[in-house]
Amino acid sequence: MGNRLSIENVSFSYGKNTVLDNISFTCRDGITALLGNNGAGKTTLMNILTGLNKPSHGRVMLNGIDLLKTKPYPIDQVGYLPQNFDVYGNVTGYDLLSYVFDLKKIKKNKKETIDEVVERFHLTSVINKRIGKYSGGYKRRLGIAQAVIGKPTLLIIDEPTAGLDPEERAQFRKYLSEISKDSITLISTHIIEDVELYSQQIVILKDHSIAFNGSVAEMIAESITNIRTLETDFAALMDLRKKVTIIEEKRLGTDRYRIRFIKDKQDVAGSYQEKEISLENAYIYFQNR
Amino acid sequence: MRTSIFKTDNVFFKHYFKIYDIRGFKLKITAALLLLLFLYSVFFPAPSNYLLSLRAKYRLFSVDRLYDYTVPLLAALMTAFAFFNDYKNQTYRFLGYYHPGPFNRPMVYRWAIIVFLFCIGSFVSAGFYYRNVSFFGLTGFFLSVRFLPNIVFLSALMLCVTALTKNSYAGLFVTLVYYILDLFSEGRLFKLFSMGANAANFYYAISPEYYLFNRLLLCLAAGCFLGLACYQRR
Repeated sequence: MGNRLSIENVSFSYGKNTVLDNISFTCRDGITALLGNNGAGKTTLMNILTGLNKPSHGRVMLNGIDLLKTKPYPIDQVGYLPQNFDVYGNVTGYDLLSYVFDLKKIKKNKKETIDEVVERFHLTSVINKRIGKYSGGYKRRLGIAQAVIGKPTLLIIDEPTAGLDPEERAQFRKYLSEISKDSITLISTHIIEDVELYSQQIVILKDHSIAFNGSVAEMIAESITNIRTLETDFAALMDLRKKVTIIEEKRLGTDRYRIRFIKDKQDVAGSYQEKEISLENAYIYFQNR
Repeated sequence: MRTSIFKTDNVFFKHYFKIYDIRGFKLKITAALLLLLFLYSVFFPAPSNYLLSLRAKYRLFSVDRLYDYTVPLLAALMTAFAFFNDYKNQTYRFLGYYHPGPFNRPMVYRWAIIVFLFCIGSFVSAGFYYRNVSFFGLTGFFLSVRFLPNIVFLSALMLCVTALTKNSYAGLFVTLVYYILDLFSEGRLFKLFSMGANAANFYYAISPEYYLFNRLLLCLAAGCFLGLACYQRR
């Protein structure tokens, strides 16, 4: 039947500033990507889901259990990798995993469980070294290892690939796709490449509420009819910048540009609808429509 | 639920020397500082006419500064050192997640370990420092125990400001500003909230009630600071 996370009418405010306004969505096993510009409220929502912030309104149900009313917060069911994951530099990776294992009160053989995650995330060569000597990629892998230890139902991962080089990012995305098979994996990011390949569901946050909730295909389908393409010269481009919301500009040659923009009430002469657009185009559309 | 909390506390103590104080490094520094304090107290004791001078309402900063100000400062600096890395890379966030509940109990324990050691060290070495006045008697006990509120207060202030601002430097700054102002004003600036009640001879120079109220107030303030520092705003 699979797992089910239901976020129901969640609101959060700092004083008079509304950070999240009546957020509701449901997700199941697989990757759900939470997209949004900086300040959209992604990290706040992550903090609410991990019990670090209390919402002013709403509830979060995980397989029928109110996550935020469960005391103490069920750290054995929810794995969390914070945005800037770091721990004391002089602690070894193994000692950290051992600590987390005990804190989660996992009823399995400790050594076997730790060895399994160490192998899975290719940490064998560094696991007995001090975390302070880890590269950014290894630190991130250790972060995901501590989150998945004990196989939690829900995984919350904040900005998974921030600060990683392209090769490490690609590797990390593969890890995420593997671990999301049997768990709800909620990742927060503003890097479109992180979600393009493996996300089952995308939720876009804009102005403190949900601007889109659906699959990658639905996101593209909904935006493609509202995006136009036009090939033009520099002078016309300058003029168009004032009239329409441009979401992509590409130089084709000397004084030749191809632009994509959001369709307005009046169509621009010579513009056309393309058969394919990138997810990034679709994302920018939802942020600007 | 209660069993669950104690189990988590057991996990904290089981991993203390592998996560929070690798190979007891902080413990060893604390022990070394307390040993130096003990040696100083053995070789440079307080004068035998100490009590007579107090009764004559003299302010004995040169005698009492060591236990009124220096030892609490060392305890506060050790507190800052112990918690420094928590706020350097947002480690506190990660650790806070794994210790759900209204109070961050490991934080209380980590603070209490340092303060307990300094209190024991201060109590024992003060016994030797005031040995010419009274050695292992009731007077000696009171002469040693009267400094403990200062240790508890200053280290709790350091922890509170650090935890509330999520910045160790802010904790150091506020604590040092308070410390310097109180030291150089010889207890006149903060009055009831001064650490210099012994050195400034509040007991005889003002009144015994004022002195006792000062000691009590420092302990209460330390409790409030600790509560504020370890309360998880969820």
